[in-house]
Amino acid sequence: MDRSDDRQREAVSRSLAHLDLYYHSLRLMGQKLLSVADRSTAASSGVLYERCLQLGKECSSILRLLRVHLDAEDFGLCESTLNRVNLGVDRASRAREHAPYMVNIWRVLEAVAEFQVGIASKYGYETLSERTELERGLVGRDATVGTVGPARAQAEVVPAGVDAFKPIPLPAFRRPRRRRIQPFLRPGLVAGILIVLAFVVVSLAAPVIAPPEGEDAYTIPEDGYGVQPRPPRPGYPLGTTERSFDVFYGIVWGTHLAFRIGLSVTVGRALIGVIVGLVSGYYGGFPDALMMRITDAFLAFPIVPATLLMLTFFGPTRLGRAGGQSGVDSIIILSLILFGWMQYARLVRGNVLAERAKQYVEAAVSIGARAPHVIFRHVLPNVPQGLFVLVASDIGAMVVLAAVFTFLGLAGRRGLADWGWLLYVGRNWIIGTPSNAFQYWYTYLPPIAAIVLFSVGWNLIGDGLRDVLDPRLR
Amino acid sequence: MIQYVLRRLLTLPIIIFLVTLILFSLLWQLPVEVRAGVYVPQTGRFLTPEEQAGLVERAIRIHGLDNPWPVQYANWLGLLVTGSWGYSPSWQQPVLEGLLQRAPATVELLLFAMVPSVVLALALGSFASRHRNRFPDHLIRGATFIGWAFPSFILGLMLMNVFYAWLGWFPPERLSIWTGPIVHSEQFRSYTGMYTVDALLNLDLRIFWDAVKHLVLPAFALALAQWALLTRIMRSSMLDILGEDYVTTARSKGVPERRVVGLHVRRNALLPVISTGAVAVSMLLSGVVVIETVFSINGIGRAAAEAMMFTDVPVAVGFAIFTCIVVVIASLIADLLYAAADPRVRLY
Repeated sequence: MDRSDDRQREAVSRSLAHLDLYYHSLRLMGQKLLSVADRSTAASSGVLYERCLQLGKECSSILRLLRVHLDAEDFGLCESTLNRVNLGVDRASRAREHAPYMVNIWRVLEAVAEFQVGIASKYGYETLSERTELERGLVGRDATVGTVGPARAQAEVVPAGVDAFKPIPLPAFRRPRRRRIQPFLRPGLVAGILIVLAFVVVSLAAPVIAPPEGEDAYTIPEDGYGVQPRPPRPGYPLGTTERSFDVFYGIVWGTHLAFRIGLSVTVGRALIGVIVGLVSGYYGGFPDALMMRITDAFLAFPIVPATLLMLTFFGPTRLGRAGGQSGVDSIIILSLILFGWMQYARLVRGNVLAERAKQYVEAAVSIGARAPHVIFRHVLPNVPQGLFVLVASDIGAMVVLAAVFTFLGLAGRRGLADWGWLLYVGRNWIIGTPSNAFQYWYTYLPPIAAIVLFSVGWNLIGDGLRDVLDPRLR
Repeated sequence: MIQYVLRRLLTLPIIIFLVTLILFSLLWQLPVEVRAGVYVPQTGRFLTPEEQAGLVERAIRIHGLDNPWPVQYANWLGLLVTGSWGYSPSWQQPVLEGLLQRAPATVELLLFAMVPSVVLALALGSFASRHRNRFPDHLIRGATFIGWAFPSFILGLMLMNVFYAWLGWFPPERLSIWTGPIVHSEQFRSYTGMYTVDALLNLDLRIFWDAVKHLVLPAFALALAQWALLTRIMRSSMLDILGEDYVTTARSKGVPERRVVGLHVRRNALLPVISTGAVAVSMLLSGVVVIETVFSINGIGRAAAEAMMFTDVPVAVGFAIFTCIVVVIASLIADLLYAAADPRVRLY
């Protein structure tokens, strides 16, 4: 409720700002007309008449738009003002002489000013005249309407007109800076960003808080051959799991690996998706049909069976890397990219189709711009909105998926610093002992917490972004 | 309508062609010895390296694995169509046979996960949309967030820990041990391989109840993410339709709200849900692998994951094809349902 109120207030104050601007321009024109009439140069006054009428019409259309946003009580006021303005403009347009013309223009001004006085304070909008009067040291609203009116002597008017030619500060649109940041200040989004930031800190600090011992940082150092997990103790803040693997080290470097997997998979997916979507959406016809059928074919592969296939084909055992370097995560990353870019492609294609139908693209094409130029300069910059949402929510999901494979025991080697692998080992101890069901909590709780928090954090960001960028789903 | 169905059916061969082409081009990356290994049946006795090499060479010769790839691709397609999907060394049986033998357990789990979750998603999604931004809506949206963000295998592990290790209500695997003699006896006839259905057909309610008890946790863990997805889609599409002009028209001419929602809104809101159907099936097939492993259900997914430990190429290919077929069929059904639900589709 609060938000819609805010939006209404914003719409009204923006319309009022426009109205204010037109009002003041009209007033300036009127003053100028008065001074011109004084010198009887009819030639330029014709242009000024026209401009005045135009401004009057602008006022009327602003009022008409404003009507929609107003509450019932102000609606009537707006309606009657609109009628007065229309009447004034109509009569002025039919006036043949200077005097009746001016009278009607003043009537329009009067109506608008009264309306503003009635409504501005309610919506917290400071009218321009109010501010300029304040700056000049004249306080009080009488000045707004009264400074120049048909009833006043012209001598009084002209100096005021001269004064008014000084540059007028443009009406400030309220809270432009807050508007840019405020939508992002949602509790969910902020919480998500904080969670992810915490992971970022851990991942960046990894070499300091858990210095790697071997060549490969993603291998958990093995201290001794104790089969039983041992609880937290100095040097091992989260204890050691089966075969004395350091849980803390695994969590810390697992964070590092998680970011590596999440970011590279989503970037890879987005890259393929953007290329396919752009080509397909922009060229249409046969390339589009072909690309979309290929997309459909890839969509037929559920991601887990497809990745199992890739792991079997090119996994560490097959390539004779069983004990060696971290080959398994690159296979998983590759497979998650290869069998997961389709959603991105469809999204980009849809956006491109929507963009392509717009006039500016047609204009660019009509002046002979080549396809790559149009694609990269005009279409591409308008595509990424939805992409951010997809990327944000995918990063968490990809890390969970990768953890699934290591959890299934497909890491290909022991001691991979990965949350899924820790859980694969810790799973054996999840039942606990008859006296204490949670005796071995340190073997499975830390990786579970890490995976869940990581996934929840990125999902919060994704959902929050979607709410901001696409309010339709709210 | 018929024209639409025919047109949709015509795209089917193209998709199948592309799917098999993708698979084959991956397969093509493997060295020829590995591919030949698919055709070498396991004899059960130990083979010397020379004997093994001889068998592999023979397989290469017989199956034409030294031909150019289009020929090999055609051969391979032929094998797929005739049902010879290769011999799995880790299962010690032909792949297709192994898959079909393990399928009922998986199908049963999928049904128990899918049917309640779809029904609940439709009901709760439309319920939430009609109480937009009020308490029930917030509650349902919160639940869908948790369901979507919470990894299913961790959910499974935690459910096991609480309901099996701690409370002892819902045990893992497919049936309790005491049912073994009954299920494998002469009197208990196996019709489908799904214990719940078979128990009902055999009029044995105790077995049925036991099987259901074993299915509750895995079905819940498997279905939660899909439920969350479908509920969100249902809610937002209901909101979209509720804002349409024709709904306002119906309301303003005095149609009761129940009838407006039932007749004008819900049916149209179903369309996006239907088109997500294939994605949901694909998600379930992915989830089934890990859920079956966690709950020790001897279905396709778990068997495939275990075969991967032995880098069992035939099973990997067979499992991928199997799931692809299911997804392709599901998306065909979804498209046909879409056409049935949306008359506009039939126009072109």
